[in-house]
Amino acid sequence: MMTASVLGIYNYWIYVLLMMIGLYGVIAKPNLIKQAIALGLFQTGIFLYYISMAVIDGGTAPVWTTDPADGARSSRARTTTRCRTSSSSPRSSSASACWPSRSP
Amino acid sequence: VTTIVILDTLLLLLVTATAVAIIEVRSLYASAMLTSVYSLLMALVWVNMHSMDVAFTEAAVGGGISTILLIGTLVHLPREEKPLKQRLHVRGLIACVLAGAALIYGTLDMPRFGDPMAPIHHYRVPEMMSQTVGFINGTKGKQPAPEGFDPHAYRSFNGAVQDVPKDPRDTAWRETSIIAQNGIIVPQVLTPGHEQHHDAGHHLHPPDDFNGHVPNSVTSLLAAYRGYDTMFETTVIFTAGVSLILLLRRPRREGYAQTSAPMTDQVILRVVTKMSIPFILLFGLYVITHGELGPGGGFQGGVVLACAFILFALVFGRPALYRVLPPPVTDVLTGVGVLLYSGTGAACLFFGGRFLDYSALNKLSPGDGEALGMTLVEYGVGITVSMVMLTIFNQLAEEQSK
Repeated sequence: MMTASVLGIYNYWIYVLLMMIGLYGVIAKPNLIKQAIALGLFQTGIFLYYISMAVIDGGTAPVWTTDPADGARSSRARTTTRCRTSSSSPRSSSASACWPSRSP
Repeated sequence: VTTIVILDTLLLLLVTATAVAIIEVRSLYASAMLTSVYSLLMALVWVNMHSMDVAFTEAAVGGGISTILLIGTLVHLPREEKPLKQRLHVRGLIACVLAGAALIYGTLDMPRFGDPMAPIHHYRVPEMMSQTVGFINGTKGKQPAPEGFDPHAYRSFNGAVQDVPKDPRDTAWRETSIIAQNGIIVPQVLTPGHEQHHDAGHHLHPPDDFNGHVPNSVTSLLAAYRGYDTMFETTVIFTAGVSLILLLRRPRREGYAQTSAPMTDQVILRVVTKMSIPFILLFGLYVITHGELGPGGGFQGGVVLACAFILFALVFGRPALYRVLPPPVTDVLTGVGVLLYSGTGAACLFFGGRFLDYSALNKLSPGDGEALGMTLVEYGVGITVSMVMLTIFNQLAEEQSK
């Protein structure tokens, strides 16, 4: 339980760590190139924060794919699902394998 | 504990170690190379978290071109940091530890990593929904907001629900309970024949939410919903290129410096470069063109294109590059990209839509118009980005050979 809760906010700790490493670099290093690189570290820390928040269990990349079960290949097909086209199984089973889960 | 979490944990440990090394290492060259390693690791982290476009940018920009440009800058500068009086900046360290502790205290009540119940997954920007951006139908084009949709009610809802569902992933339950408790109508466009849209849970992230014809939601956000933003980002890059030309370029009559030593005597380098450049160019064009279908886009593709030209200049010398792409051509193309972007917007006006409302480009199939507009815009971004990157490299190299 402890491990799970630590892993649950681990990413946020790393984001703080990266930002602080960057901040320390800006404060402590007089070299301008080093400072610019340190600001870059700070920036990726912030990216990490936003992207970590948006991660969802069982999710995948936000690219809609056309389900071959519909037999429609054109981009016009309005039957995109959130998961990659995994199978040609009937719609109900292929859709239940991906997020968002459907009502039972 | 899933594979994603394990990978994430290990990669982030490596990332942190690399970050410490970047700051602490004395040699600036080592620092620059470690930045490249850092970006590559970060790209893996992003891929692991399913944010492909960020990963692509991190790999292309962070791992690729910025390292090249950093090294190009270091050529003019001392390669080592001056030794500091004391190794550790105690006051700075204390300030960072305190600020970090405060931030970590703030993270303690963040939702768990990947929690489907986190508020971020259950709240859509009401302004976005109240615009017609979200309401696109494959055959009818942009639709007005459905009857009864109240953006203010949608906004004032704070996301709190009374009961806890048995299954935390049961988003359908959550949505119906939001509707039941607050009388809010959550909009969805029903497409005849596809009954999954009637599903209560489905309209949390429905395919109709953005532009259904543009499968990559990131691109449709960047190029359509935030089209102005991206246009001005491109303009900022254009301005950077122009300023660099004005500041650093010497008058044309002095001729272009020819003194940089090309590596043409290196047979392996020459042959491998000749063989790989067409593929790099092709890949760059693919990334730009494919931007609205999958990961990638104008920024990433433009950087890949620039890398091909820079590789050519590094191996065969800048005079050879100037024969292929003379600086006047580069300069003009820098502007052409921005012009293509804003021209696409103007074309939308011409066809009766709003500025950057791409669906106006194809009256019969507005969704295809969206796709066309986004591809044109991506090309605009790609042209400007690649040419500005090339200009930065050229000017840095010219400074060096002065």
